[in-house]
Amino acid sequence: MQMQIEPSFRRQLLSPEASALRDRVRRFIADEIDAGRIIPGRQSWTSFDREFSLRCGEQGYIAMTWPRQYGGHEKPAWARYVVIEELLAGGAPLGSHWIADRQSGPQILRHGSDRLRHEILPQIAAGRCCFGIGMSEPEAGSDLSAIRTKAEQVTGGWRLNGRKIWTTNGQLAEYMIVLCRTSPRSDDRYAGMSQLVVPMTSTGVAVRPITTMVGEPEFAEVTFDDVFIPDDQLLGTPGAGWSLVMEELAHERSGPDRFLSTFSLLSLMVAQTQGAMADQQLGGLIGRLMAVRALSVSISGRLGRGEGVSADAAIMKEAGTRLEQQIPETARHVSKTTPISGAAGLSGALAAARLSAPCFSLRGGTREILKGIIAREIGLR
Amino acid sequence: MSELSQLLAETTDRILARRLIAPGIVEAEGLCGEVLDAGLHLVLVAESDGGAGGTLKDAAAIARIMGRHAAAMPFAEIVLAARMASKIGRPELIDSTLWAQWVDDTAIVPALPGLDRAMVTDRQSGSVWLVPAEGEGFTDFAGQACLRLSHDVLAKRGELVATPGDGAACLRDAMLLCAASALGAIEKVCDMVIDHAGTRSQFGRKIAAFQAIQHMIADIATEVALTDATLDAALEEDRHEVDRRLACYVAKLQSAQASGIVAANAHQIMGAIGYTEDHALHHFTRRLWLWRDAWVNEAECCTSIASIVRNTAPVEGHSSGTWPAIVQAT
Repeated sequence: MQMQIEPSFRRQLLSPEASALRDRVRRFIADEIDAGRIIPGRQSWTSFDREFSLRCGEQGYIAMTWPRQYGGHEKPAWARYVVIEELLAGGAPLGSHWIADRQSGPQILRHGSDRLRHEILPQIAAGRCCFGIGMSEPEAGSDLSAIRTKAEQVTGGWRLNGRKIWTTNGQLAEYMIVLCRTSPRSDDRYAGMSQLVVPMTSTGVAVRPITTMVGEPEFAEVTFDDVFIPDDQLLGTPGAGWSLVMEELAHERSGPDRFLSTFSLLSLMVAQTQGAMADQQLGGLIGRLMAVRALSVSISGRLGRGEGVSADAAIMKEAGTRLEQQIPETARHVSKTTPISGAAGLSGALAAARLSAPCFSLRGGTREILKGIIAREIGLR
Repeated sequence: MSELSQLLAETTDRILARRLIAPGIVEAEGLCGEVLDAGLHLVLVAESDGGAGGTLKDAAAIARIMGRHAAAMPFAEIVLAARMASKIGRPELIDSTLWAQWVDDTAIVPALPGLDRAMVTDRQSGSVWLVPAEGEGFTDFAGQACLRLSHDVLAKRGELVATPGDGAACLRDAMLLCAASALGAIEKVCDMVIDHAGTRSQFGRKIAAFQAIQHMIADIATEVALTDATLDAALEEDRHEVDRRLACYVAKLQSAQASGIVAANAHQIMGAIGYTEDHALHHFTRRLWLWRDAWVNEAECCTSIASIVRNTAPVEGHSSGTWPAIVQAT
């Protein structure tokens, strides 16, 4: 009997079907650029643009792999990979739906109640719904076990109190998934935490926007004062929130958003610089980017087969974000431009990349935390 | 891994494991003869000429294991010449010919008993010439005897054996086999430092407990994973010619950068013992430093990558051809 062997993820990405899909996304991006809605190098996957997300929803570029009953499109993983990497490389403003599509939606799909799935997932798929990640707190950055936000059980649900900070697009989000303590910290510091889906319109939620180095209020501080959350808005089982966080982070770390954040600037450098020195430096950056993409593609294939990828996911994010940060530094060596925020071409792209770059090796696990994970996974501690 | 790959890999491993003279150190004397006797150099030779009829992936699997032992074995030189000999209908050359490498304006080959002919790619035309392996001796960076083919030999040119495209394709394959050996070597060095950090104690604790050490080893593991992924992508056969070329430069570049980082961090972690001839790391580092600049060095890889990308037409929505080039070649 002939065994049907599925082609590798890399082969799938190189198939004629994938090429046709790429062409379609590129046409979409080109139209957005022509209309002045995308300015390559000036926006990124955290830039909030609800109208753009609605158009992505119409195109079927959100919730691509989810079941149809929740507004998804039941496409294979390679199709989602093609669409998101084309949108990222095209410099699209994806902030209004990115986090919901990447991690909050999949989390609800896997661990949410039936009501939540029906209520929220179709909204995400349509591009109408933004999610904030409620993990960091003033006293809990890298060490999430130190969170103080807590939820007490009350009739029919939970009463939430505490404070989250540095939440991307928190002031514009419809919902937040809030990591909180549902029982006090014990010897197992990761036990007793839970994830709650919190509508930002709930009574007792207050939001203060925080301006970052980019010059925009793209972060927020969110306080919860006796906020009531119904039972069926807790994801998974009470106290088991940490395993959900870990699962979420594996998906958060290995995607192309971890190496394409400053890609538009790199592409502009190739278009607008020349000479032996530029060739040396740009050839090196492009080679490294291709190495990171090759690893990302390999990880996606393994995720699809249900294999463990945590060491490689941490490796990919670490190497990818290091590269993203190197790109604006190299721009200063291969061109004579000066960064000016809001300017056209290389100058404006350099300004945007330079100012957003410090965040790349902080969000989703700092470089040092990731290196610690890599060390642990390869058997060092 | 194919059945053939598996078989060849096991044979390679067996030969090398038998030759260990100290932990991680393989006896170089007579190794090449043993490899020839075992027929490992026939991996790419057609079955009609007594070869294995394997693919470059099969050859890369052997090269990787040779790298894991830092074997003093000019594998690409022998395998590629044997493949060409078979391809041009000259099977009598299979056991006695080496593929030459250019360094500045001289062609070099390893000096090995019985291997007295060289195939040299003309750098202007790309044609390949068969010449006697004669010239001045020198020792390469890893301590092996080599020959600089004399200008007389090169000027006479010898016999034309292949036309332009073949020379370029062989150089590309040499780069990939070299990258595969480097991958094997850095994998082994990674294992060595993990073992060392978990055994060696200073200040009353295992050095693996120090965050600085953990981070240096994490950097090593990062380079190993990236090199593995790029080599795997470059060995993908189902691509257009220009995409294969780009993927190949990327794999060689990544393996070269990895070799530098891994060697530097490993020496820092191992301390003085790794610097001495007594320790395997010493031998691995010399190989890595040789391989990273062999065939095509980092500078030339970068320039070639930039040149291919600059010559790729932009697609809709992009200011340059960078993106389509990347997507097609990874």
